[in-house]
Amino acid sequence: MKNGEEQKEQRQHVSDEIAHRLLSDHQGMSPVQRDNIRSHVLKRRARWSITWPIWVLPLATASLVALVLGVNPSEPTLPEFYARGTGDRVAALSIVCTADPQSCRLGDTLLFEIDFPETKPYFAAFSRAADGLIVWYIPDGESGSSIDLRQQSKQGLLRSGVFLGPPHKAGAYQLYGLFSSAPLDRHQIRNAVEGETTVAERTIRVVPFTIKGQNL
Amino acid sequence: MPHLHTNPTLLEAFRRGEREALSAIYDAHVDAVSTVIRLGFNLDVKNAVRIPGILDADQQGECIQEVFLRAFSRKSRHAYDGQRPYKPYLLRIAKNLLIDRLRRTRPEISLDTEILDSDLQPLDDAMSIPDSAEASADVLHWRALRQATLLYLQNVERETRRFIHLRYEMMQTQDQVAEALGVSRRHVRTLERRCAKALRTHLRKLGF
Repeated sequence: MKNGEEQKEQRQHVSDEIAHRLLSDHQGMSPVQRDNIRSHVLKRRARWSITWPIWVLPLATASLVALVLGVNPSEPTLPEFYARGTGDRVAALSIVCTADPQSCRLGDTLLFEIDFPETKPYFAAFSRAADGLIVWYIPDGESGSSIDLRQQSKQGLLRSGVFLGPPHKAGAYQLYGLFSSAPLDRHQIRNAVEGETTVAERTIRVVPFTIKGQNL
Repeated sequence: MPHLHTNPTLLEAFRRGEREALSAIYDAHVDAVSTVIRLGFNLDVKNAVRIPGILDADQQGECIQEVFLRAFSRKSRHAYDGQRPYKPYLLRIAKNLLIDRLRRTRPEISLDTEILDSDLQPLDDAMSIPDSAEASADVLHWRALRQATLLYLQNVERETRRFIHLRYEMMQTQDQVAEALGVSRRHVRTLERRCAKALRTHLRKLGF
C-alpha cells in the first residue's frame, strides 16, 4: 500500500491523457487514447485490402505479394497461454505481494507463483521466521494434506493467497514449498524437510522474504 | 455489437486480419478490456484474491494496446475457436497480461534448496484473504479535478467549446469531428493537444 505522500504525488500529476479524460468526464479511456490505440494496433496487425483491376494482376502479383509481406511483418511468438504441469518442467516457487509487488508488508496478501512437473503435482507450504516461529499455510490443519496443484492453481498462481496478519510479525522469513508425487500430511512434510527418506518423491524450494511493518 | 461466434462472415474476415473486422472487434470490446486493466480482477471468486489494476493513465493505455496486439496476432486469431463468445477469450488475455506485469515488478528472489535440521513446531494456520478497497480519496480528487475543469470550460471560446463537445462529450472520431468542423484530421489532433495543454495550465494555476 502506497503511503500518503506517494499517493498525493501520483494524484498531482495531470498528464495529457488525464486532461482528455477530464474533458470527457470519463475516468476510463479518453476518445483520444481510444483512437490512438486503435490506430497503432491496426497499423501493426491489420492486413491491407487492396483491390486491383484483374488485367493488372499478373504483372502486379510480385509487387503485391511484397507489399502484403511488408505490412504483415512476422509476428513474435507471444506466450498468451501458459502450459503448466508438463513433463519437462521443474518445480519452481516464487512469491509476490499484491499491495506492493516491491515489498511485503503486514496486512498484504502473499501470492504463490507455482510451476510444477506432472510427476509432483502436490504442494505444501509453511514459513519459518528468524526466531524459529513456524507458520503453516498448506495443509490448513493437522488432519489436512498437500493440495493438488492441478485443481488449485490457475495461470501459474495458487488460487489462494496468504493474509500477512497474525501470527506473522515484521521480519525475515524463509518460505518452504514442498512438491510431491502424493499428498502428504504435516508429519510427513516435517520428515521430508528434515531429510527423512521414507516419504514420497519430493522437491523442496526455499524462498527468503521479508515482511515490513504495516503502513500507518 | 458484432458477435464473432454468430457471424461466420465477420469471423472469417477477423481470422484473415482484415482491418474493418479488427476495428469492429476493437470498438466492441475496448471498454471491457479498459475496465479490467484499470480496476484489476479477482483471481478466484471463492477466495477473493485480487490482482490489482494499473493506476497510471498512460500505462493503462500501453497495456490495453498490448492486449489487442496479442489478441490480434495471427496465432491468437486462429486459436480462438469461434464457437463461444469472444469477450471472455479477450479478457483472459488482459488478465494474463496483468499477472505478467505483477510478476515483472516483484523483487528478484533467489531459489535455494535447503534442509531444515531443527524440529518443526506447528502453530496456528494462516490462510485467509483480506478485502481490498479503492481509496475514496481518489474519487474525491477526481471530483475536485472535474469541478476545476468545469470552470475552465465556462471560459473557453465558442469554437473550442464546440470542438470539445463533439470530440470529448459526444465521443466522435477524429474523422467525424474534422468533417463537422470543416477542418483536416491533422488540425483535429492539433486542437486535442491545445485543449489538453490549456486545461493542464489551468489546473496547475489552481494548485493541482
